Amino acid sequence: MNATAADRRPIQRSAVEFRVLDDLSSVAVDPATGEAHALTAVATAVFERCDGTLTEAEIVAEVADIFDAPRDRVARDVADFLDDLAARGLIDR
Amino acid sequence: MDVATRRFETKTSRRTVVRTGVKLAYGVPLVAASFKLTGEGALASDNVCSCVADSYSPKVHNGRCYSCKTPGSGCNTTRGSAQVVDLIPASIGGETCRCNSNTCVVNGRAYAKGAIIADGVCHPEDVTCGGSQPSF
Repeated sequence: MNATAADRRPIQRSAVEFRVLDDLSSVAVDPATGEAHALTAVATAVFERCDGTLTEAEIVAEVADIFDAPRDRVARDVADFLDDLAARGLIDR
Repeated sequence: MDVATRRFETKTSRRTVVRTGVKLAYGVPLVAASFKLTGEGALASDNVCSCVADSYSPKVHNGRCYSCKTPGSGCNTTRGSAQVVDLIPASIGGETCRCNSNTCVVNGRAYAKGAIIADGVCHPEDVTCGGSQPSF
């Protein structure tokens, strides 16, 4: 049986350096490409949960809870954002 | 310490969101800026007040994201080909921090035009110029 997108457990690429700032935004640096990416606070909350243990659905639930946001909206946003992170080579899905 | 415990101690949570002082509102998660680090890289510790001419690419200093001012309108650094540039804190995480009027007031204190606010503190803009190391 194929896992749905919500069942996938995204995980940060091990080489990526990740630093959370005081305002909860963050910077992720990929030494392999020499690229740095500045993440917003909500993006940070998503990215730091990409540890291979949480499913996408669980990430959505936690982020929706933290920011008191509608879960369906967060689900759409997180799916798009994870696609973006994967395209940038920051995570594996 | 098990993984779950560590996760909740270190990741963004309701508690950390509130601890920022202002409850952060939800916004579409996104990469606010991406940029290539070079030999004169933004993460270099010796001088980060440098932008390649005509580049508006964001730079990182002390983990914060800045964009370059209009080339030619700032000051020169000691780096050869690198032109100018004051650091303008870019919009990141909803934080803005530049005094654009003649004076600005932050937390009850007035600062001169051009001051840069970092970590809640204003710094004279000229500390980023003339090749000197930004002090914040």
